[in-house]
Amino acid sequence: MSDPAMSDPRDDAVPVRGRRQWDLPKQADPTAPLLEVRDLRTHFKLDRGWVKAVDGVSFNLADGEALGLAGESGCGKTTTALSMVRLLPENGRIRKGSSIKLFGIDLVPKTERQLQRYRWREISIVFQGAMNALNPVIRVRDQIAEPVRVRLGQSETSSRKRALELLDLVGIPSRRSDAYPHELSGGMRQRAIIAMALACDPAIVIGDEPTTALDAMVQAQILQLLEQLRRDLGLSLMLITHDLSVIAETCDRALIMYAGKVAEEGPVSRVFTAARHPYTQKLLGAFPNIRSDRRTLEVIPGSPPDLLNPPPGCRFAPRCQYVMPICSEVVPPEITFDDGVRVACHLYTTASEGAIGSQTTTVEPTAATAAAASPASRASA
Amino acid sequence: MSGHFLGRKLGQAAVTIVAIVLLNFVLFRLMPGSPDRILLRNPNATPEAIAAIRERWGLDKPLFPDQLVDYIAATARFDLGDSFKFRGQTVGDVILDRVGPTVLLVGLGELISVIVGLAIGAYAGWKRGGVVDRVGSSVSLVLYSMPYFVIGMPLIVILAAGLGWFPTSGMQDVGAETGFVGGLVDLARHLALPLLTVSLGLIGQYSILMRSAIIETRSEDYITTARAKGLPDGRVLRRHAFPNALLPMVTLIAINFGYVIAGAITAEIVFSWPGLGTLTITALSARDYPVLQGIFLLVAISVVIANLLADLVYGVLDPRVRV
Ligand SMILES: Nc1ncnc2c1ncn2[C@@H]1O[C@H](COP(=O)(O)OP(=O)(O)O)[C@@H](O)[C@H]1O
Ligand code: SF4
Ligand SMILES: [Mg+2]
Repeated sequence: MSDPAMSDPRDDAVPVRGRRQWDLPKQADPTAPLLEVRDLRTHFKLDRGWVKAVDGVSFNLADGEALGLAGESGCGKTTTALSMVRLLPENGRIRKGSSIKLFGIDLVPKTERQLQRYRWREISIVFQGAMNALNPVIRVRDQIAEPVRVRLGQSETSSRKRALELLDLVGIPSRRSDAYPHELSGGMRQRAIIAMALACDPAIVIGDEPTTALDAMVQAQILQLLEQLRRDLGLSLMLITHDLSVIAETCDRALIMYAGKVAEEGPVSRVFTAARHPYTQKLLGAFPNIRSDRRTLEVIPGSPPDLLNPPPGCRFAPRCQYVMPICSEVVPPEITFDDGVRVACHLYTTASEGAIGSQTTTVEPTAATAAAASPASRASA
Repeated sequence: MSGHFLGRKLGQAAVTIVAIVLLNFVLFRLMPGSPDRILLRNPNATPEAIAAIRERWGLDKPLFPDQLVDYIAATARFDLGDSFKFRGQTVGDVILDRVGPTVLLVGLGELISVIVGLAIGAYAGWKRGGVVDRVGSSVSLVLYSMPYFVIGMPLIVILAAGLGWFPTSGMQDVGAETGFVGGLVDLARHLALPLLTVSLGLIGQYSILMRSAIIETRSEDYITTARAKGLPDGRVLRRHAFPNALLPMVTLIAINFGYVIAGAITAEIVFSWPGLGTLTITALSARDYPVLQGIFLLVAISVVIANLLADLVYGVLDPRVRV
């Protein structure tokens, strides 16, 4: 048991967790935060060295919360998600010193066999490809029932009943329950995958670009479904997307990643209206109107660094318009502001040198940032 | 599986068989050494005798349409003519005598190789780089690359001639034990080495193909999904990866069936197994064209049927082709 004073003070934490149909894992600390990721470093081994795909990422996910993960393609979003349940490609390693605590249980030291207990029952994932995430030779209904039967030990009959309930929940008519994946449309398939992700009533659902492959109208429907399920079931959601408007519409907090590190993280209302990190500002600048324009993020000039040999100091330095001498030498520490926003950028550390390394120091935005956030400076970029 | 799918596949098979029958006709009439000359084997034959023979075999009529029509009509009646070599026997009789041993050898060999080869290949590919993979893959590659007589010869030299555990040739001992069980044991002892020869080569081939099919399947998204579900590794392999990796194998095994028969022919010769393989050699050296023609037709049709079966099995295994 950890000190209750250290635990998440949110009042609704207990009710959400109390909605669970299944017991918490035995070692779970009921007062611990739902998910606490600290200094996650996931690297891929290549002949030429290690690709530092995720390099020191920390974040929390509270009960019932939706966290949106954004950043250009290749910045480590998927790797972060796969690290949670260790479904990495064979050359992927979670390095020493990383910790992923679920109900206070660190998943990193778990063996593959031990980890199976947490997959799907605690953390399930909706993958990007609705086309390929379902097994083409097994009926959709049976794929949904499978974890209920195998993981929760339920009978054939009751697991099938649960599958039909879930299909109903995500809006797939029961007459389609016999279908094979290829017999369903892309949107239907993604609904079925969502139903499958809910099968064991997990604590956390991760959506890795769950709507990217779908056309705009179906995208909207799927997001609406996720929203509704989150409200009805009290899901805790980690939503990965490179579409910032999706995060603005559906998430409580946003985590902006750049080149394997957290650039900025905080409440959506703050991050999207008063972006502090130059990268976040660029991202938002690529979205003149978050709600209507769905341009992709590729419009930022330059490209992300090679993660085999990332630049020393700030990884955004080669593309940053505010770059300072210190930026290419010292890795910017993460600074947390009063409004709950966390930023890793030297623009905010130079003001209070002594704050470097501290995660809780409050720093007011400097003049440079204030200017950076203004529309005029964006236009000149 | 819909009737439409079944009908289409049956139609394709029928068209192929018609094509084979036509090819058979053309092929054996283009061959050097016309049948009449071989039939007579007598340089001093009188023109009258030759004419009589030609009339007897219908060779005096024009190739098209008369000979072709006669040929097709006869084939449709399963009348493949008389053997040159085995006087007094029809081609049908000669082949029928020898079909059993070959079916036994090829059938059992296919069965064993499919089961063992797919199992080894699936496991090796799943645990890529593991012990089974490293040992299995190199052994498989060696076996795959060896012609059947190279596999068969050492087996004869060591296990049959050397250790005397198995007979070196034939299908039955002369004056073999009587009785059903005794006969079966005798047959099994004779069958063991040719069967092993055929199976070893095929196991090597199937396990190599299955290994790469599994490796390809392993990186599919639905396998990641299955693992994300927290299913035990063995279940992910058996329930999710194997059935999908099996799909390309069904086609490969069917396409390969002609080569299996060709391989069995070699193995039969090595072990003097009294099947179609040894018959082919006999017929070849005697220029027994009707018998060769019959064997060719039979083998070709069985390959077509194997492919038809593969299509049907595929249709059962893969819901996507049932439409
Ligand atoms: N198996 C792998 N081996 C080497 N590098 C990889 C591997 N998988 C991903 N990467 C690299 O890791 C980085 C992060 O990838 P990913 O997590 O997929 O990014 P995102 O999901 O944000 O697009 C990329 O630079 C990618 O090239
Ligand atoms: S640390 Fe320097 S280079 Fe990096 S984002 Fe901040 S200002 Fe730009
Ligand atoms: Mg990704």
